[in-house]
Amino acid sequence: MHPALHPGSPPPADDQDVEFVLRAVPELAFFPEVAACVPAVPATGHWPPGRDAFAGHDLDDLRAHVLQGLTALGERAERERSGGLAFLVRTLTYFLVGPAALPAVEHPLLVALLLRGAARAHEGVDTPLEIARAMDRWG
Amino acid sequence: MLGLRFSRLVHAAIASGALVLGACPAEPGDTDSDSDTAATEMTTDTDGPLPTTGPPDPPPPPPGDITPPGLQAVTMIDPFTLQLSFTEPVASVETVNPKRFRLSLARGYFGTYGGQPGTYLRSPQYYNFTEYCPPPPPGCYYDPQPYYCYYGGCYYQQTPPIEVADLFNHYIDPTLVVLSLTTPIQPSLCNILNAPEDPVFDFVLHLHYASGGLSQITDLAGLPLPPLSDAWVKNDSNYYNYPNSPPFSNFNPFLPIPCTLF
Repeated sequence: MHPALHPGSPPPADDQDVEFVLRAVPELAFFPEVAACVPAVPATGHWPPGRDAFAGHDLDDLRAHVLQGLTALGERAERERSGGLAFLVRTLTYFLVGPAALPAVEHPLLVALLLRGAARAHEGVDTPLEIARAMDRWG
Repeated sequence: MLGLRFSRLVHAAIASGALVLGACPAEPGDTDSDSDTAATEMTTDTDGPLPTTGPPDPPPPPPGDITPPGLQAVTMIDPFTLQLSFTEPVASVETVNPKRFRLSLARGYFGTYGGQPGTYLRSPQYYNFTEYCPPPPPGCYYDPQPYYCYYGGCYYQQTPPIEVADLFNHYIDPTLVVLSLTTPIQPSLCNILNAPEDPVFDFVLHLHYASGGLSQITDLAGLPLPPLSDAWVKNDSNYYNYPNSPPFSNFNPFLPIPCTLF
């Protein structure tokens, strides 16, 4: 597991730490609090799908479910005194709802969950490593 | 790239104060303003401005050339020749050791989630191939050819290292220096530069330079050219990595050599 997600991990101290923590998003998409948010995605022809595969989809429900999941993850971070997880949850929530909310296809956690949904139609790719690689090729 | 765009947004939010690194932001009274106020109060206790002893000293005379030369661009003239453009005229390079220069094929990795972004240097020779067609063995010029004549024909082989053989001042423009190479650049190397196979990778051909010592590149005032990613010059290996940093951020200046020859 990414060290920033471990219980007792310190919060990031500088820009380099922030970069390190942000890379934990693909693994965060496999936490049980948000794993239930993985949407049902129609099978696409190839793996990995790009952002165009989700153009025009109504993803408001996904956003609402992920907000609940992030709330639960925030409680886990507090319970486990995980500064890295707490920072990641705060950051992802900040860009999920409110004035700074990003489009779904620009939000890393939503993208990771969409990719997990698409991965169900492809054997062996619903893993943090393959989701991470797909995120790097998202565009 | 998704990760790069998001990273920029996060850093901007942190800089604006909208996001904090730790869970607990600093207490409102826990700032440096107290000490600033105290300092202000101390200075206001004086009865007025400090007495002056006369007119201020005249400003120092303007210095001469204090700006070192800078490398502006590196271009390919032909497969054997590179041209360096500087920000100002440079002194004679007759005694400059060509070993101060070294070419690299730098691979930048732009991914965020599938690995660490970074820059990975390799010797260009590993991507520089020439076609070699050995002559057919004796006795293969007749028809029909015996079976041992079908030996495979041509194949591609790696060239010797591409090193800087010598350097010269341009015969007209004093801001230009010409480098000759020991081995010509081949189309296979340019193909790598012009068409990366994967969108999270980018390949550039880059020149590195080590400064210091007596025989180095200087401007006409004797100010030396700063080093350019000189770890690659000082490193004997054919591999060198700058991991966990934005691609090509360790090149200052970043001057990819475009390939327009083929």
